[in-house]
Amino acid sequence: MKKERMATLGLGVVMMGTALFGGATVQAEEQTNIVWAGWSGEEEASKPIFERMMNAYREQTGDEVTWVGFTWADAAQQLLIRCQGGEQLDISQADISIFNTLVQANVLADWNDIVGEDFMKDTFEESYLEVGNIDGKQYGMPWTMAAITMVYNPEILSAAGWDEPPVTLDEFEQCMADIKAYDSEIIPYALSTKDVTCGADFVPWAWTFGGGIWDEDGNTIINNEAGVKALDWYCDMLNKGYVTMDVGRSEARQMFAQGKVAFYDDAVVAKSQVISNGVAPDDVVNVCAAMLRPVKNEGDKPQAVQWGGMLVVYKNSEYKEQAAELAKVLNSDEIALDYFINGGMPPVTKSAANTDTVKNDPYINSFIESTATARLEETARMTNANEIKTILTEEIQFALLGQKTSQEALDDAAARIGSAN
Amino acid sequence: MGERRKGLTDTQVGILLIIPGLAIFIAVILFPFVDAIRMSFTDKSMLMPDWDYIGLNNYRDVFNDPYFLKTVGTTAAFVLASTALPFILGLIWALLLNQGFKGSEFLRGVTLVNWIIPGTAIGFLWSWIFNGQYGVLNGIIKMLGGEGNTAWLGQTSTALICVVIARTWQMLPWYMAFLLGGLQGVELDQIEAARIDGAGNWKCFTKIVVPSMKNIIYLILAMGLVGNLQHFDLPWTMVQGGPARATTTLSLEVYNTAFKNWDMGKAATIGTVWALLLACFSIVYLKQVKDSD
Repeated sequence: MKKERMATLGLGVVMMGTALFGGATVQAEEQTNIVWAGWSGEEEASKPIFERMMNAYREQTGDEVTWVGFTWADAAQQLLIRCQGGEQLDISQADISIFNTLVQANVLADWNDIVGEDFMKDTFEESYLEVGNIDGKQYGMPWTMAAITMVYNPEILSAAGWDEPPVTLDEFEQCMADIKAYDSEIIPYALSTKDVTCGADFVPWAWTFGGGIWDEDGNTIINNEAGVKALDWYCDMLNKGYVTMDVGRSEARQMFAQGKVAFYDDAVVAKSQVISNGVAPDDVVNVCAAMLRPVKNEGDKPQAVQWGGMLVVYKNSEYKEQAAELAKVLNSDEIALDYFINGGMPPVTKSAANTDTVKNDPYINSFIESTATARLEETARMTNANEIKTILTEEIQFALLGQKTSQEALDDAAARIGSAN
Repeated sequence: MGERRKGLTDTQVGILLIIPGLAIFIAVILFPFVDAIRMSFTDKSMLMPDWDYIGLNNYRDVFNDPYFLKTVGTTAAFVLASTALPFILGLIWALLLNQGFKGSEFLRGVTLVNWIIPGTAIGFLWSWIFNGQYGVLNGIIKMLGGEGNTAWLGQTSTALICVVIARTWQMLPWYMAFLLGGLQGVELDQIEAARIDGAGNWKCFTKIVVPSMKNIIYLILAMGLVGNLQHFDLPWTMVQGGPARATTTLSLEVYNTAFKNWDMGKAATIGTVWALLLACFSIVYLKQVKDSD
């Protein structure tokens, strides 16, 4: 009896083992499952596009891909924690603001070693490759390059008596006053006043006034006269009700898509939010168009921030080849144009950028014109970019809420940035 | 007993029984804690594999940070308000439910719902209520004829209050449940005797009910203080420490320093100071547990 019981138990264990491990082995031999991480696939507007991207990869390669997503604000630490914790991470998106952090953490592999330098040069424009190249290593494969500039709602401006967007700061202020008079429920300018986007968006305005965070010699100049004037101007806009507190990029995007905001700062992704709110892709330009950032004096250079999304592959990945296949699928004409038409992301490959679909698109043309003079973020090559932007955000908030003067706030910001360096 | 003497003594059995729990305690609590203290003397960063011991530099930086005292003050304000408010409201609610009126059991069940909702969900719920542009509160104010355009979470004067309200809503059932349990243990004949002697409601409450519940009140206040000192979810999901650091508590400061600024050494330093503050409340709690035994 005892022997029988033992035999039955042994058989059961063997069967379970076969089912669990044998099955898994067969599956593992047939199919590789790579992990793709990022934040864009978490945004409601982009989810269907990302699903199509992954389905295309599955169909073309027969392999599996698993999406791991988080918010943009949490992306850098989540990617690092995943890497350092030894969890599977094969490929991820990385925009300019977190790219250098990942490079410094020494977790990325060189694309040239995986797909070859010739492929990279044949596929992408040199200027796009430069963004993802650090010290001769091609850590970033271009995916969606654009810039952060200002977008506006032409219908609201027209209703307020403006057929063209304002060019100078004086015109901009007048336009905001007219919008406020036209409909007090509309926020004229959904300026970011919270999270790191507040600090990030302040910098192009500081440039507009002639300032910046650092000068060419690396001295902190955020608290110079130009910076203080820019922050005074922020406070003035808040006092006049043109901007409001407790607005970040995501709130601005959502309210803009609903027609409750006339201006805000964003990249080309603004389009996907508008489309997800029910506007047909062809009609987007009626309610969402890019404009040059207003300048202090007519003839000044309009400021915009270079922004770009790259694909990065991880040094510890066992499936770099498969990750490269996914990257190629994502940059294929079919998928890139789908992302462009439905998500507004301009393609970066030479072939897709030269299609009529891209060249004749009025939305992207307005972006290309307005971002021709875009500059890299001053913190783009720093590992503590987030810390610097957080310091700026906090000190700008102190000034906006009247707890410090603009000069005091920026003096404190300069001191803190100096310590952070 | 006779057989055990041939094998292991009582002490040896006791030690053997303790070993598994002790091993888990060392692996999960003691080692990370000691390691965090060790890390507070280093310049360890999440970005660099190499690090050095830097003595007390992190402690000097933390105490020289112009905002550190403000952060401690904000933490204290949050902890005290988020403990006192739900305690008082929970006590009132428990007193009402203890009257045993029709439907009181149903209400007790419904009240507990708040407590089982995840903190992040509560954070988003209250962020929506307090949102300056499309929030429920401003909508109600507009309906009543007001302007309804206050950025509740965007003002230093209101942001912390909003977080405390959300925390109160979350924790009220917890206080209520403990206090109701305490109230049901109060001797009714003592109250009846006091009433015969002419004592009113207030006197009965302050002279009989509260002293009878003294131990449980101490316990839940100590546990509440410790819980709020550790709390992270609501200030993070609702305001992320802003605006202008008005809601930055020690828990958020540790998170930001470690995972936004990548400075693990400094984060460990703030964590160590934080743990010392926690220890003060924990001692009160442990003493109370010991006394009540």
